[in-house]
Amino acid sequence: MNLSVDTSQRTIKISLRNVRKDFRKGDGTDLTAIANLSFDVYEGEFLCLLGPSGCGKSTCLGLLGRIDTPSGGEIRFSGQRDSYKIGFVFQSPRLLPWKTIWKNVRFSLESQKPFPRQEWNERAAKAIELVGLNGFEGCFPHQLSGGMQIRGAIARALALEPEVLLLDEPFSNLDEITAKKVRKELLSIWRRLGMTIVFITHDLHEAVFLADRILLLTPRPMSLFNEFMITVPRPRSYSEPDLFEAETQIARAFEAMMPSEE
Amino acid sequence: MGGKGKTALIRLGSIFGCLVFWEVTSRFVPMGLFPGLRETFDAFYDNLVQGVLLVNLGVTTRRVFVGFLVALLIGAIMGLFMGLKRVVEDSLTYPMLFAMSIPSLAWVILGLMWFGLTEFAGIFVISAIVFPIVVINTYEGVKGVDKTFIEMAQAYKASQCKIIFEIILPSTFPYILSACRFGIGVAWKIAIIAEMLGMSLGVGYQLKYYYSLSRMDQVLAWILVFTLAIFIVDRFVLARISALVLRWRPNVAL
Repeated sequence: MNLSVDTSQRTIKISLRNVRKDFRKGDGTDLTAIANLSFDVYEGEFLCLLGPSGCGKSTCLGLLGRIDTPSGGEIRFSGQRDSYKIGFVFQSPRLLPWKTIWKNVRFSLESQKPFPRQEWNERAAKAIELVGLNGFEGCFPHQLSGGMQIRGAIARALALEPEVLLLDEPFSNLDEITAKKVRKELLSIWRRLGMTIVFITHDLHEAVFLADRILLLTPRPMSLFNEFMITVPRPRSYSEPDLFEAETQIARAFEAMMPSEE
Repeated sequence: MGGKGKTALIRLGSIFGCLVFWEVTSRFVPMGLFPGLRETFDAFYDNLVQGVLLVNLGVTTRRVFVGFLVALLIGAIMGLFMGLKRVVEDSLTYPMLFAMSIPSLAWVILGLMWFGLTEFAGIFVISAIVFPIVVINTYEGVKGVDKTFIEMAQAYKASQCKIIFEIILPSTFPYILSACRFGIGVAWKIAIIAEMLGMSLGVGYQLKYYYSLSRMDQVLAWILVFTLAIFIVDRFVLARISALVLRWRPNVAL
């Protein structure tokens, strides 16, 4: 199976060139989280960043989401800089416990104000509908299951109609059955809305099922080790032999990257 | 029977048990030193029908609430700033610890010496004692804010104002409410002492008055008034407010 990458025909959404990120540690020395990272995110693709835990993936997502700035190198965003809307879904849902689902979803709209105030209710309702949480608008987060809380966090991100949706291991705290279901829902939302998705995970199985393209990242300091194209047609099923084969190939690359310490 | 019904039954039983214990004990104590239920409730009833009970309770309650509210309002704002601004934190930490270490009775003496036997003296004393409790608790609440919520809000470019009012302030509510329940209990007790030492009305004054007359039945009746007032305020006012304000929490402890 050919997992090599051909990106000649595509529009670049975000481009990273020689990006470095250092952190000042408590003892005054610098810690390099990301060393010389270059890659492009293409318009409308589902990109997975795959790497071992603690390799600096979340730091990278902070850079892509413009929460943080790089210590070196360059990140370019295509299109109008100021109107760039980015949705975030974090490792834990981070829904505010004292707000109902309805108010949590409105939070992103109220904070970023990309649309006139009159549209907020309508847009929040639409986002809640998209993730299938209608009927639960008045609930507080603790009254919902883990899967539903993640859906709420996704709705909060979708309400902005983001051009780019950034997800940081959003399903890692769910049981596998729920995670399988929510992954499929995420894919169907993505196919309907057509935004660009960057999805961070350490779960190879998940990455292969979701992604158009997978970037394999090295442990800290993080850099790009290899990239793979998953061309298996959609909708995919978890039991597809082609996915299994892709998974095996990437697992081999992963082992080459991290030789076992025997 | 449900767990709730069982709890209620046991609680009622415990009150009944206390009353029985009271009555039985009073029979073994020399006359006048420990009146039984009958004499105490007679005194209580007399006070109620004559109106003295409500007048005195009203005066004490007003002192407690005014003093408490002033402390709550200023204390919560100050605690908030203390948690938000490093300069305020550094400059208030020691003064607050000093204020907390001043004995309550010393505050009463200070208040009466500075402001004389006035209404203001009572309110000042209550505020002064409750204030540091509220400040410290609110401050702890701000420090305990879940940082990941703030990261989330910053990712969505929420304004500083939105972060303070919709994330930091709500996370301090449980702390402020626990300061309220503790603080208001302290406020009642202080009010009684202040009234004994220098006021001419109020539950504390009545206690002192009947003490000087050696009227044990009246002393017990006024202690009863005081205890019931605290109980009602805590169970029916503060607990209800807590349940309403903290309804977003999985378990609201009553």
